[in-house]
Amino acid sequence: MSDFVVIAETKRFLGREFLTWLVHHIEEGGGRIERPEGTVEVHLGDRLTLEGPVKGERLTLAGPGDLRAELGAGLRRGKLLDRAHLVVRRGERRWELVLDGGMFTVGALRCPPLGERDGGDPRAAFENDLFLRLADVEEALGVLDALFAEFCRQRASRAWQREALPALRAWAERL
Amino acid sequence: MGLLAPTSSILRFTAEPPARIDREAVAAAVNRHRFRELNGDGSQQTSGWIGIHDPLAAELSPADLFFQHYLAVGFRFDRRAVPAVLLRLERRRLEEERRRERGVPRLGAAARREIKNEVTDRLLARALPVPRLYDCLWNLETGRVYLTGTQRAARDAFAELFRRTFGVEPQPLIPYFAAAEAGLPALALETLRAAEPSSIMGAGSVPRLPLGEPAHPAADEPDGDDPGDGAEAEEWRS
Repeated sequence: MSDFVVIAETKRFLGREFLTWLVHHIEEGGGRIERPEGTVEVHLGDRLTLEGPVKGERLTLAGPGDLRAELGAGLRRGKLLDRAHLVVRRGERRWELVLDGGMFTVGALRCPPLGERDGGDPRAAFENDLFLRLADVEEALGVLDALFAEFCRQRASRAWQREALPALRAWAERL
Repeated sequence: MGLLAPTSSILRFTAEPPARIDREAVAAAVNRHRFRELNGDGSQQTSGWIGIHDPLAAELSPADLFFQHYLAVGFRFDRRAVPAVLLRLERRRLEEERRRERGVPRLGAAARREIKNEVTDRLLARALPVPRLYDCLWNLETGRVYLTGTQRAARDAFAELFRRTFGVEPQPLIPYFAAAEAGLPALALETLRAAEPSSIMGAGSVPRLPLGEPAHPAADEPDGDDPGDGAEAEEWRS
C-alpha cells in the first residue's frame, strides 16, 4: 500500500471532524463568514452522509424536511459527517456542492450561471467562459479553505478539548 | 464532466511548477503523452492528454495549452467494463454447462474462479471502452492543480500521466496535506498531523451492550478523548 493511501485512510478522520465542526458552525453560528469579496453565507443543503468509526457504518439522510433529529441520532451513536450538501451565497450569487470531508473533494458543484455569449470568436468565448467559471470555482473553494483553516487552528490548540468538543457534544445532544 | 458542464466535480492537487517554463518543451511533452486509443493488445484502459477546447485536436501547440498563468489541458480516460448483470448471467450459464459436462452436483471453488476469469476475459475483449473526459488546470503561480473528476481509477491514471509528462508528482489535497496551507505555525501543524481521532460524543455517551459495561462505575475514568491532543501547540496562540 502506498504512503499516500495509508495517510489518506488513517487521517481521513480529520476531514470528517472538519465537516462535523463545519455543520455545527453553520447551524449554531449562522454560517456567515467575512471574505475579501464580501459577506458569504453557508447553509446546509438537503443531503448528509454520516460514517461510523467502522468502515461501512454509513447513514445517509436526504429529503426536504428537517434532518436535524436524524443527524443528532447519528452523531450520538459515534458517527461523523462524511459528506454534506452545502449552499454558498454571496449576494445574488449562489453555489451548491457536495463536500466529501474525508477526501476534501467537491462533487455536484453548481456555480452561478455564466452570462450570454456575444456570438464572436467561439474559441475566445470558450476561454472567457472557462476562466469565469474557474474564478467561480476558486471563490467557492476559497470559502471552504478559509473554514478549514479556522478548524485547523482550533483542532491544533487546547481550545479543541476545552471548548470545541464540549460545544459539539452539547449541540449533538440538543438535536 | 468538464468545468463548463452544468455541474462538475473537483479534485485538487498540489504540484510545484518549474522555476522556468519552456512552453515549446511543455507542448512537446504533452504531445508525446497525448491520448491514444486502445489498440487490441489486451489492455483494459488507456489515458492521455487531449485539447481542452477540442478533444479531437491532433496536435497541441503552446497557444492551445497556456492561458494566462494556467496550463489548461484535457485528460481522457477510456476503460473497458463489463456490466455486472451480464457477467453474473454468463458465469451462471457456463457454470451450469461445466457442471453437466462433469456430471457433478456442484463445482469447486477453483473451477468457479477459473470460469469467472474466463468469462471476464471473453466479455472484456468484446466490450467497447467507455470514454471519460476531464479538464485539468494547473495554476503555474500557486502550484494548485484542478481535475474535474474524482473517480479513483481516473485519478490514479491522471497522477501517473502528470508525473510522466511534467516530471513532478501531483499530491492530492486531502485534509492532512491541506492543513499545511492553513497558515499554522510549524509546531501546530505537527500537532494537528499527529492528532488521533476525537470522540465527539465521548465514550460514555455511546450506548453499549450489557456485556461491554465495566464492572464498576467509570465516573473517574477519562472520557476517551485524545488526552493532551493539541496541548503542545497552545503557545503559538498566545
